[in-house]
Amino acid sequence: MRKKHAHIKFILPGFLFYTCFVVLPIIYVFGLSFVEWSGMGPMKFSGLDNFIKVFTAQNFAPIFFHALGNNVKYLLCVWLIITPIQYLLAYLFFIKIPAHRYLRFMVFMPYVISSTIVSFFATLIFNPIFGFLNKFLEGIGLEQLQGAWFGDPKWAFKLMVMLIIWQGAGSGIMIFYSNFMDISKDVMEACRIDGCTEWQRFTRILIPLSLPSCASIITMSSIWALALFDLPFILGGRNGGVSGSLDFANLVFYRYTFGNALSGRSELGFGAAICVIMFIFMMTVTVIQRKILKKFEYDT
Amino acid sequence: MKLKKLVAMLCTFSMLGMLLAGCGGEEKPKESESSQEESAGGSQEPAGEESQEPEGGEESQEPAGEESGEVAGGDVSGTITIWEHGFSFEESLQAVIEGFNKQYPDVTVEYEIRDGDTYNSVLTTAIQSGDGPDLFYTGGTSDAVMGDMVANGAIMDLTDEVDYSLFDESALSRSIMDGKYYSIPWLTMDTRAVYYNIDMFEEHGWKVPATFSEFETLLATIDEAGIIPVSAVNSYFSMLFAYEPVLSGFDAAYTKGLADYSVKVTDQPARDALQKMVDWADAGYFGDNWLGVVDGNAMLLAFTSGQAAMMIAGSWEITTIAENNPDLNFGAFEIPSEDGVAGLVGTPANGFSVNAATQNKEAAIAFANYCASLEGQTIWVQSQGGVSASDEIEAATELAKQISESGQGNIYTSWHNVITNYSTDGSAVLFWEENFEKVFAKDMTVDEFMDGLAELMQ
Repeated sequence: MRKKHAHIKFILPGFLFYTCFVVLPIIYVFGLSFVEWSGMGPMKFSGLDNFIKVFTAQNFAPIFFHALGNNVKYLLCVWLIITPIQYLLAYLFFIKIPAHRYLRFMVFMPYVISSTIVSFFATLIFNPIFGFLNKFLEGIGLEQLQGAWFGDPKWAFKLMVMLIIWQGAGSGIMIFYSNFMDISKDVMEACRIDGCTEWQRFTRILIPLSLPSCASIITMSSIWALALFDLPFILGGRNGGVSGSLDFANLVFYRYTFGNALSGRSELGFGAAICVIMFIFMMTVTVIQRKILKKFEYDT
Repeated sequence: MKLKKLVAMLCTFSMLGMLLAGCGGEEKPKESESSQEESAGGSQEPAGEESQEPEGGEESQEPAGEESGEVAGGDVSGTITIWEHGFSFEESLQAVIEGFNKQYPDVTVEYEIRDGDTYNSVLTTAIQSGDGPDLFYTGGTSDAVMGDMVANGAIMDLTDEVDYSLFDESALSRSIMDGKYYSIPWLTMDTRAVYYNIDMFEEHGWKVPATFSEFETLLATIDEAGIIPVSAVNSYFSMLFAYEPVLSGFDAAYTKGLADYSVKVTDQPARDALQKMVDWADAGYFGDNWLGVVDGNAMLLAFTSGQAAMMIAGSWEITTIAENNPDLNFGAFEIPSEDGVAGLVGTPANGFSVNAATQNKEAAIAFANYCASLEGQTIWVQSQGGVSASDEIEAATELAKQISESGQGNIYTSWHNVITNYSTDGSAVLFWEENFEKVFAKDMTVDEFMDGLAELMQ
């Protein structure tokens, strides 16, 4: 009998901890999404009103969908630009390009700086009035190239992606790199003896054998992409920058849920509805992604 | 093996402990320095100490518990906690607490500065959960928070608890709801002003404008000299604080009408004044690429570092500007109308309310009364370096006096306050927040913005 219940005792602490701090809050947020509540006084049941408002309110729906569009745009950047760059750099370090140790350190170093600090310094560098970049351009006689940078919708999103690559690429590179290092030396030697070119080794050996790390990185980055907040908040302000170029779903959630110091309106029920929608959206993306990536796992 | 397990368990528990401690975002409350110094036997003169003797105090009704200085507070004791919403108020709060502790030495006053946009939601959550502070700042009737608290019985009715005899009707406008008082105003005028670099003006021979067209000409002249005329930031808050004084100078008669809502916030003068600002932005009067300035501190820095000749901002920025560059020689003025009339846009500031669920009502009320006293108000106004909204309190700085005098005794209602107070369902202010910046970014025309706003106004 004892043995039968041993597994329950084993999982109970973790189960309780996870239930209290993850499952219950999620259920609470789901519950909140059906009420109208400022955080004070009794909650007023409002049925699906909050959800209907998110999807149909004339003054809100376009803003939310624009922000969600930016999330998707960024998600595509993660898939098509950021992850390939991480992969390529990891490969270059793996094949030990000149000064690879130094470069590896330099690429990884910004990762330890918090994104808030990175964003703050970015605002100083790209400040159009006294920022380093415009002053530098002025100094070398290229005033015509000066710009508003994060205040220019043509530049803002691109600059943010560049900043994320600069700051956050290190983690993915390290995971890819570790995965490369884990590949059996026998396999690498064998392919070399068999006369593989570098390109063949890359496409036939490294890529297939590193798909597990690709799957983890893509999954994590996708979730992160859909939950982006701190960088655009600091770089573009709480309204998501000029023409909403840096507006993301989490920023919309933030300003509509907590109001601001001037108007002071808090709409926790409405904010919870945004959360639920984002939760379902992220879950859908992750599940689809997982199904696709699972096919590749077979090959490994 | 056992030792290994033990070490592993200890490590796990200590990590868990640290994790949980880290999760608790509660700020450690600060006890006022004065209170600590008092208990150590030290005594530091508070700012504005010389005004401690209330002039004309005989006429005013003595607040409860304050009638005989230190003796009066002898029977009030315990600890109270206060929440303030910005670091720029910290020094003033410390000074007020210091003054209060002289009368009530047995009361320990702790305070927390909760800076940032989430102040209101953190406050309401804390009060709802029963962990709210004894006294706290709200925007009064300027926003929805105090009303929400009144509706839910979370805020104490101070009508019969606090002596309000020091304040006139305008000072109490943000404290009163349904004929009852729920907060203590501060007699600092929350107004806006044009700050200008005096040395730069003198060097180029520029004069403080006497009419609106002179102001507009000045902008062009400064721009021609290769200097940014006005330091601005692409944020609806900051642009509002610029727009309101521009509106008052553009059409003083219209702005006066906002007080009783005899004019609408979206009438033609409001549209034209906003269009004027958009035109100024296009002309480069805020800098060529000013839309990229998203941080209020950057706007401040551009002015204090001499990159821009002027900055239009709140009167509460006086001390921040001075601290940012102590060597900066700067003055302030209000934008005059075409016939030379100028005024101050805004109202006296709102201060603290008392939590209905306070565990130490006696001390909380005593503190509220101290805030409502001439002494408390004098300390606050002078330590803030703010524009005084009372004849009985002299502004502490020359600059604050300059702003007061520049207002020529005229007080205009804030355009934003009207949006808040006369919206059909409270959503007008959200519309303004979301779209004001879009007008300057040309995502929306002035008319589209105003028409959208008009639909949400009474």
